[in-house]
Amino acid sequence: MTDELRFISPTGVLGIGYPRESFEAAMAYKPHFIACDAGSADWGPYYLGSGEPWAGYHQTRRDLEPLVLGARKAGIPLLIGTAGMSGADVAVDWTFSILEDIARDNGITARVARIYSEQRAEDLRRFLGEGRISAFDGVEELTVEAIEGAARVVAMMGPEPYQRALSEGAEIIIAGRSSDAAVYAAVPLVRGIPPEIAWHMGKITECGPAIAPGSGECIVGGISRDSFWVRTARDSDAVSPTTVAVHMLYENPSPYLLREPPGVLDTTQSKYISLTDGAVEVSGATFEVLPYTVRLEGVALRGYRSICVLGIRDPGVVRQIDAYTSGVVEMVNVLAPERFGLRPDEWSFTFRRYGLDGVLGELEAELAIDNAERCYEIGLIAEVVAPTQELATELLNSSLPFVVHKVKVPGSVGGANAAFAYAPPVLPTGPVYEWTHWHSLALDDPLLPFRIEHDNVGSPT
Amino acid sequence: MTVASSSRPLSDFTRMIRSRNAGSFVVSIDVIFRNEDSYRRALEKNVFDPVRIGGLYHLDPSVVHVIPHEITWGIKITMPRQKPSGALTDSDIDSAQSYVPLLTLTVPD
Repeated sequence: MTDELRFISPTGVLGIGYPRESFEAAMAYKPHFIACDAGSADWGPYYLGSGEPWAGYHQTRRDLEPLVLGARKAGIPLLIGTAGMSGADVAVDWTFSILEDIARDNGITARVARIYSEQRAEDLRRFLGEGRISAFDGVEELTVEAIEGAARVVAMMGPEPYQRALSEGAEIIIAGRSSDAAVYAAVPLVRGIPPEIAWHMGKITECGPAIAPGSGECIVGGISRDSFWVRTARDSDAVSPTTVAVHMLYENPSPYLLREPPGVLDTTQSKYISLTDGAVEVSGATFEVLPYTVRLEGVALRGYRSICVLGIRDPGVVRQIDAYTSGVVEMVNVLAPERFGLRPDEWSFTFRRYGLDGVLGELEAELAIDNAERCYEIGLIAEVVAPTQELATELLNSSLPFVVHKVKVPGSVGGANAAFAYAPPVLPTGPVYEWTHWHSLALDDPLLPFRIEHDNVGSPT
Repeated sequence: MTVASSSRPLSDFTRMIRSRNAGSFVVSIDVIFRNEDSYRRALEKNVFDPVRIGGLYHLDPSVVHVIPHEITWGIKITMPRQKPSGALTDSDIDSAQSYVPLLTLTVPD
């Protein structure tokens, strides 16, 4: 195959927004496919635990609709990876339902594949028993107890489930948890592009305009056997060899190597050069095939959180913030078992000292300096995590008298110790999850843990 | 005779310093220099000595990985997160401000 394949990466994550004019300009390049990532684990375990999307219906539909209409008009595949932020099955179905609305409202039809990536506990136990699951650095080995205690687990698919869905006739794919780069590399790989070119292109384009800082433009590109090029749909000077190369570093532990399900991409010898039309051409990577692995991501429910946002302005309390917060904590430690019958391992009450040393904690270089010298006002978040939302809110509400006035702070004038930012002061923030699964699963068949379902959306008119 | 040496803050020489999760258990920091000179001088002066970086982050130097990236005049620093992203007491979910302790570094002239 010598022909060039062209593609669009409209945006870094579906729902964050892109200029429609930019997408229209990108379509003028006559792309062969459109790919878009719709999720990430980088904003923590909540989305996978709850199955809720980050981008809501309007955000998602606004971004998805032009892609669907553009792809169907041009007769090219549209691939959406890690649907609904986490790629949970429920998030795939939610995204599919938006697609149904788009098809109905625009009078179009499409063959749609949903690819599910959630893992059943019984399958994970079998994989564990077969010795297929191993921990990444810094993570504990997976146990049967952790498998049983998980709220939800997904496996991160490579390109093969996408390729299978396309070969079975899908025109649009809504996929669960996916390697970011695989969403973009799937079509080139199956059309004969060598893995070192396809995977490098996948990594460079997975975040859309991240390679064109400040532009917010859709990214277009072309890929052939020896190299690929990328540029913005408009603004011809927004990408440079440096901006493209810098993206290889992004969210990746190594600046040169990228582990993907079938092996490892090595960009040590890669060349990034400017072409005359504002595009950057990339070549020279290598790819080493390794035993096939996918990442497992899973979370467990730890309780429900309620919070209270507090402002501390009294100079006496600012100076004695530690005496104040530890005084409140002591009182809550008595209250929680007495009034609510909670065991110590069932609940927590903490102050998050955002506005003092809340971000860096013990790494804060200013810690040695007296509070009174470095600030005159402190923002605090009091938070409770408890077995139910109701208990979390009640325990925090019961603590408010201690928060406001019951703790006598040495040196304060005896007024209220803290101001409430909101009415009501106590806000429920929902369930709290923590990562429990962050492991490698070795596979003989890249399709094994994934399920593909085909449907027609819209009705012919 | 000794000549007084001077140092300037790292951020005087950089185009970008950023940090992000590289997965939920690892923080990855990119320091991108403005020009090749300052990139080379920072390397020569061992500004990113893993012992020094480990000190800033309260980590054993053996888990601090410092990898120069020539074509971007960049330094990649990878190390374990203090706690996993989104742990009950985590204070920076996607490691957005984990680079801040590096701002105390200086580059000798």
